Amino acid sequence: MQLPTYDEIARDHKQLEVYERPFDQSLFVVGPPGSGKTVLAVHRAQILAGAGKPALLVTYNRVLRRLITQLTEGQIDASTMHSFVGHHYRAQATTQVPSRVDDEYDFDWDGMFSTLQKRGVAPGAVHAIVDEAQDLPDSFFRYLRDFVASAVTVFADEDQALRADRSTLHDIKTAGRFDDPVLLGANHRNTPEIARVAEFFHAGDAPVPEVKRRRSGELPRVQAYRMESATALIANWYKARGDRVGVAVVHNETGESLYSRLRDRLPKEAVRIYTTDRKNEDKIDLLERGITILNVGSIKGQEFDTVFVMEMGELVFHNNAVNQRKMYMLCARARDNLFLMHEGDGLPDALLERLPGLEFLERP
Amino acid sequence: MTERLQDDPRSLGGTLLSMDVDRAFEAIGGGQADFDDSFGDLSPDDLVLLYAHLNQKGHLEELCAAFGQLLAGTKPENPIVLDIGCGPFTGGLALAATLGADQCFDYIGVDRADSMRRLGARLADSDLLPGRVTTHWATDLSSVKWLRAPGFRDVIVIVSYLFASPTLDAEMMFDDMERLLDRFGRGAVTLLYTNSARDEANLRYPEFRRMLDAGGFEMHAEDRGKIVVERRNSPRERKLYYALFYRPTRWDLRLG
Repeated sequence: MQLPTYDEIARDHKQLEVYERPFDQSLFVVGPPGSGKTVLAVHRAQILAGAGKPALLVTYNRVLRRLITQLTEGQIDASTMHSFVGHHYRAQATTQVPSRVDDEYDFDWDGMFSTLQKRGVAPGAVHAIVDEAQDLPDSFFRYLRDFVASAVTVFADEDQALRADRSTLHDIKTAGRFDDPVLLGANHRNTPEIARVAEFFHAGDAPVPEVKRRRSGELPRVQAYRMESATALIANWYKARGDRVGVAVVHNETGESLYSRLRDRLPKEAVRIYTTDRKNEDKIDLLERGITILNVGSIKGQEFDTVFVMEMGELVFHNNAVNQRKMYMLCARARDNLFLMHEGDGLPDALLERLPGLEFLERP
Repeated sequence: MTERLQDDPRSLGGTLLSMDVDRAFEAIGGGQADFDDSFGDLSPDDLVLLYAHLNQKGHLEELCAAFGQLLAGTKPENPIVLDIGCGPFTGGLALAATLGADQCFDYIGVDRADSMRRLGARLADSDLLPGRVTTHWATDLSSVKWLRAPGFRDVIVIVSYLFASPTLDAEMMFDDMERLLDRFGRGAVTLLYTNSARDEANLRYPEFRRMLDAGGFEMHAEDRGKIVVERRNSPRERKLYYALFYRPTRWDLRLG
């Protein structure tokens, strides 16, 4: 008997497809948290721009658009979907985007398709790149393929989708006429300890990525709080560590209250908040040290050294598929340290039963 | 194990639980007995002890030698090990011995006989095991409880002497294995097949090989030959049928 060695049979199967796919071809990529979706999206846009080819980058929200602007030092211009479609449709159809009377962001896609077809609008020689595609309507991918771009690259992870009416991977594939997606398999962001807690909330068929970082020895922590004690904990943590701290809130009012208290406590430090009402994303420096308060929808796609997930009990007690995906996404925002914060005087058993065990999640 | 058998009050005068070797082989049906049924006065746990003494040692030596060759260089990191027809933890012991004390892995032992899994669990909990192994036990592939999210961990599948069983349904076994591998995720799968060299023990192997081929497994070795094993510090040859298959990490997600 003579068997080959594992080295001999397992070589030459590294993941290269995402990096090597020609830029005139469409590409559908499924990337779990920390797998580098945004970085790859930016990388693809930069290469195209460097070759003098037009590329447009579409993101899920304004904070992610801001991050891309910062990552590329303003060289790559990204848009949110609503902003991009609004401008593009008005230019092509010379009329406003048709939408539902009670919701200007709920576009009448079929009406738009019909108008653009009648006007003979065809895709141009542009490469569209879309990040966090699972939270965009699937009709948007048909819009891109039929009327905007000769090639489309899409990054998605339906296991992080925030909406019940998310686009599934199958929806995206069908609407955008893509081949089956390529998987990103490495998590470069989270420590193994954080990834293990995030995985606890994972549901879905797409695999969780292999964690590339070494153990830190610091377990994520679950903590009960009242606003005053939470303010002290976050402020003291920031003073001690001085890194990039993200605070995720379910309700904007909670964020505003924390913002005001933290500003009082840390008057000379960078404490910032973004809300859709403020529309102040361009004043937020996401890459510098400081405390950044974002709601669940806005923190998507971001990463921080330490993350405090406030009002965690609301998501865990109202256990449904959307909240489970939110917990998965929120936990995976943290690079080094994670705090799951429950508002109350203690941690009820009913809550602890729904969280990872003591070996994964430290308790007071 | 051997000591337990020899120390049993029934093993007087060099017998195995009051039986000579031929009768003991008959009791375990050449390894194919129903190990949850009694044989005369012997309980299922007695039969498994006899199996461990008469059959497992040889299988263990073969797997140690095979893993020694396969894992001579790079070793998969923290793999999931699926031992189909595991007997009393045979593949787990062999792999733990090969990987050494600093390697950890999840071991899933599948065997229809409760008595086999009972002894396997005792061996897994004993100080025979130098590495850090998390064990899971199941009666069949479809009842394996795997609660981790699908990922990209390497998988080692051991199919050792399973095909010697005359009642094996190879197609059902393959389908159940594939479903379980999908639950593990998309990581690379190395499958080691070993069996008796006898033709009748390998009747359904060609069918299994075709299914593996259709499932994206590449064959890297296959032979009916001899393996040199270590017994009491001296080399010894054993005949066996063996094959090695490998399916690389799957980076695509089939959506249909």
